[in-house]
Amino acid sequence: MDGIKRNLLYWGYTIGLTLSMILAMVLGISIVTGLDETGNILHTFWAVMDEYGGMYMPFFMGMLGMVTIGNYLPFTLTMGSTRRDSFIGMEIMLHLEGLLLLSIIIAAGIFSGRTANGMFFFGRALLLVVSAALCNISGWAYQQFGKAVCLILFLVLVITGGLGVSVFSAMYEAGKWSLPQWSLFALAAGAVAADGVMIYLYAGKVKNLEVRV
Amino acid sequence: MEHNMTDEKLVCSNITKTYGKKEVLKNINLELEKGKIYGLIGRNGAGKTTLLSILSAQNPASSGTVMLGTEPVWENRKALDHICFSREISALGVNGQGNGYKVKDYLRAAAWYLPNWDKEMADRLVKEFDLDVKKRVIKLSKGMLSMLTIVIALASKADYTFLDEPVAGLDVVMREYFYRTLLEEFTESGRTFIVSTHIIEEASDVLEEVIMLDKGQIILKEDTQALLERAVHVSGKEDVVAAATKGLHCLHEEKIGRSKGVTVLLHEGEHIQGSAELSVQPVNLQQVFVALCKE
Repeated sequence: MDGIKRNLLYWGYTIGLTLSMILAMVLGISIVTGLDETGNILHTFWAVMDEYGGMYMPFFMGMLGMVTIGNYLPFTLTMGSTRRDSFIGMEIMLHLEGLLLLSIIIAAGIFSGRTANGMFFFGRALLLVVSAALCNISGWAYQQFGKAVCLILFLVLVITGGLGVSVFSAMYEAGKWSLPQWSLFALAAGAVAADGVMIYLYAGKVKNLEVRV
Repeated sequence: MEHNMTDEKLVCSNITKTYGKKEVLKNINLELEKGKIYGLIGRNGAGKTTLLSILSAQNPASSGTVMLGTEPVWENRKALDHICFSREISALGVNGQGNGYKVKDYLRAAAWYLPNWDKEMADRLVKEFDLDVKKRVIKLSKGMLSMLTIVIALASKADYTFLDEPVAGLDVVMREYFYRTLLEEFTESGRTFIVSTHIIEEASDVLEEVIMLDKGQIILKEDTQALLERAVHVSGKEDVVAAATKGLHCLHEEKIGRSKGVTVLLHEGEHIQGSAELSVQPVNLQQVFVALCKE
């Protein structure tokens, strides 16, 4: 089995396990907070996921970035992986499992009765790319500034970003604000570029990563 | 056709490692041959784990190279497939960050990453050590952590296998079992092992060659038996001992009143004759190491 394949197995399992825990947590919240008017657990799950999915995803991916470089990546080195193979495997599985989470969020939106129009899908796709970029930012920041500063920066970013998205979403839905067509492409391009830049910066930190003696 | 690296030597040239202003390894040159059990001996902070980390590319050197035959080891999967460094496992996980892993997670990861992983051997060792695979690493005792290190190292079947303090925390029965298993595996497979240890005397019977590290430098690398044959402790009256050891390589002297004791490393052709006034005794590996560190 070559290096990248080994890492796809490991990262698929590791990130998948974390993702499963998030979904189990949402299911738990759905049950604990009480069923909605339909009395159906699954319906409540989709409603909770739709309501909070936009927050869980960047939070999950951001935390993953810190845990990855602080723990899981060095672990793969102790098992004989190269940094390159580990990083590539990690990024592939991160984006793939991000896509899986995104599919669940989209399904949640549809099953919760949202109109599945262009803006619906665009917003959620943007969420994936921004979340992936956030994962790489937090991994880079962890190595650059250390754990404590990284955590603070991350929380500030998530809170302001979350607030901003909530406010603009509400204004957009109330018809008080609209996005010109070109801005959507600019947003998408910007998000993809941000993800690319952060992957590059994160890779720079991984290049000479040390397993602490 | 892929070049067979199984019989290649592992050579490190001019390796230095600095952390900030502190130089922890100074110009290390080392050649490791296939089919030997090496002992890596050094005081705390001598640089043993750092050296093993660099040999296995788990950490980068500040300068110098590590080659397996003609292949560089750094970031080279082809070379790394022949090397396994089973480092001391901390209950806090790698880099001090708890990972929540269980014993079985480590074994699963080892099976994925180590190309020659012997599952049967791993299962057998887990059973012998009575390790609970469902237990979280953070809940393991020091001895159990050592057992997990040993399982991964031995079952890796890597041509060059490094073990960092493998017997730390093990009781005497388990230590005996480890040495016995190590020798059996060595006899069967001809793999190269480097075992770093503080329990020198116990390990000396299995160590074919010993590498002594002090303050980031190799102070000695020699066949264990040859070393023990040329190391002696000379004791008696001060003037008699001084005369007998004149011009010889004296490592360490102790004076008690008018008596003196000196640890000497004899070179080829040299010898010291014992007499009524002069006692010449063999020394063990631990005594040689302590004397070398005090030189």
